[in-house]
Amino acid sequence: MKRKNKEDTEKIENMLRSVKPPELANEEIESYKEDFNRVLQEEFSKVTVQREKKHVLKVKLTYGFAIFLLVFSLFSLMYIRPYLIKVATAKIINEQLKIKVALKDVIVKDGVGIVIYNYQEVVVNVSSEKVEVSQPVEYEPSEKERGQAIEIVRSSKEAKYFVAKEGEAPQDISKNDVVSVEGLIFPNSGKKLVEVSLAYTPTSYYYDSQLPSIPGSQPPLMTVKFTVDIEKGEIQP
Amino acid sequence: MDEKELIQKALKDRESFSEIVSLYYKEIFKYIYRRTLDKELSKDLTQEIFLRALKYLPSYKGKSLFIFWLLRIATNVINDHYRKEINENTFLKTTSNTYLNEQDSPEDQIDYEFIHKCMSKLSLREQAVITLIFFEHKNIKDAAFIIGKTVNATRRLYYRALTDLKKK
Repeated sequence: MKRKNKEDTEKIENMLRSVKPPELANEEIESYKEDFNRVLQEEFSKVTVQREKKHVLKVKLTYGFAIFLLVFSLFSLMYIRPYLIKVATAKIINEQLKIKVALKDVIVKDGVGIVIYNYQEVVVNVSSEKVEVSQPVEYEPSEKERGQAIEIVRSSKEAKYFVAKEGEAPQDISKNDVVSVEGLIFPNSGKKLVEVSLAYTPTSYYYDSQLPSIPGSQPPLMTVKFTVDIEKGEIQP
Repeated sequence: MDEKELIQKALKDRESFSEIVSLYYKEIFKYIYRRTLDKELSKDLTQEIFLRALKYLPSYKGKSLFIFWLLRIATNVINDHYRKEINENTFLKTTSNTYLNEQDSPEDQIDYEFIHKCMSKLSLREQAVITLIFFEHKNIKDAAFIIGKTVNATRRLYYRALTDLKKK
């Protein structure tokens, strides 16, 4: 079968080789060529102008694309890279410390991701996947920071509906005396937290006016510490 | 002046391009005529080929012979022309009405016209391969370059064309 096919193919090849293509008179082709040369006289300048325009457009497009790439790279450095670092930081902390971190809580500084968690600063180097935990150091907050921190505490719902112990009724301690204001700064991120302590009296304290008063006896004075993130304008949970 | 210099000059100089036309017009016209068997059509298509060559001349990098580059344009122009005709439904009508009933030609009287009629039933690429190999005397490698296919694909196309021709 194969042999027959081969033979048939050879037969048709030979047949095609034997066919003589039509010959045309040279004069005839020459006259066509002359006709074309007349067309060329008109068309040449048109085509070259079009080609030049196309070339200019191509150059402009190339420059445009290069500028776009440059802008895109800058944009990527400014926005996309920090976002990727945030995602990687959250993932590494979740894997290594088993803590879930929201992307909005991740600070990106000098190419590393930083998360403030439970009074600790977790620094994640995303390229080496190395995690470092450091403690904050105390500092003296400025008058402005003190004022801002106290204001945030006084207007917070945590102070307005303060519950000292589970099961107790909430009490408003927002107008209470400020006992102390202390600052904490985290070494890597430079993030500041201000601790504001307010005085309060436990609601379980019962003052009986009919009982003879004991000289020097005072209701117990307790304090509660609120940790304020001034940048966010809120109390840290 | 060698061919490369001439092509470079032809980008901006009409006389140089006319020189290129003089060098290759005949070969291109003959190729077109062998594919179409229509002088007027061949004249029009040859004109289109050289105008297209003028337009795209900057893209010729000299990696192949200039004639192969022109033949490649020619093949594309013919294929475009027939595709357009097929779309307009005229080419198929002509071929089916005129050529199909004429297969009773005796084998010893096979002429080019008959072969052309049979070839018109092949695909445009197969027609190009057969014409290039048998009537333009190109080898498979050159034909592959001209039709813009790999050598193996062109070889397959060639054998398929021969098998199809056998059936006709």
